[in-house]
Amino acid sequence: MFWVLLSLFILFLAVDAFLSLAVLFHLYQYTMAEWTAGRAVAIVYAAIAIGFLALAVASFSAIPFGEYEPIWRDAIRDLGPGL
Amino acid sequence: MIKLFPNETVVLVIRRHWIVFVLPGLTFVLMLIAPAVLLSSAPSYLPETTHAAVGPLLKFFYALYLMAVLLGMLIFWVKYYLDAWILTDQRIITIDQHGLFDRRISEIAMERVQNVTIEIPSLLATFLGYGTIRVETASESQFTTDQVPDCYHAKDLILKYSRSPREAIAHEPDTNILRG
Repeated sequence: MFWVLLSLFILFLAVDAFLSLAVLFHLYQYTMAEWTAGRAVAIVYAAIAIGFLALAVASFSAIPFGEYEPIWRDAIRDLGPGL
Repeated sequence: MIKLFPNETVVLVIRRHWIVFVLPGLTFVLMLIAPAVLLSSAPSYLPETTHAAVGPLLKFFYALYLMAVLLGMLIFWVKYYLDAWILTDQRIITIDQHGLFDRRISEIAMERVQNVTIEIPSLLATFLGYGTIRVETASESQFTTDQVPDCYHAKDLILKYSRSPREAIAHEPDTNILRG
């Protein structure tokens, strides 16, 4: 469970970071020097996104993975005869 | 960065009217609020969510969801922000931002502009003062942008800067003919 969720988390972060960096690149590359709104929005976005990331990391570290193990084991055992 | 010629000045930057934000804005607000409301009222219809093992897992997925929605909002705004027409005293730079990785940039020299058409498509557009601008060039190609705020002003500017050099050129041969 831990490794599955961690892999999912890392995959999500990779996609999110890629798209965020692509947006920031667009805001730098395809604007004019006087267009300052893009930079302001990028800073606000980064601040909020880091806040959500901190919330995700805190929630992830608070997940009691040990409590899920018996549930998984029982679920797999129940599936056994049907397989 | 978009660069101008040394003696070129930007006259107007045209972006879409704020009306384009209304429906997506409401959708994003609903997407942000709805899960919070559902989660806060969950114990009444799903008592299992009060279990100590479930709370952090729900919070974790909620945080990922918020990050995804925030990124969606940013991408939507960037599409709006980069989708623009830049009117300078020498040319029109049209930037069509269809998606994050799908953009089309065209340049129309002002002296090649032949017709400028505006359309006010609806009652709402009449009240809010936005419309469609269509620019036709000498090569019969057509450039269109929708939901332009104050489109009359934009049309006037395009006509002003597209006609002034041509008129200046047109007067010179006339004087030569008269002199000859």
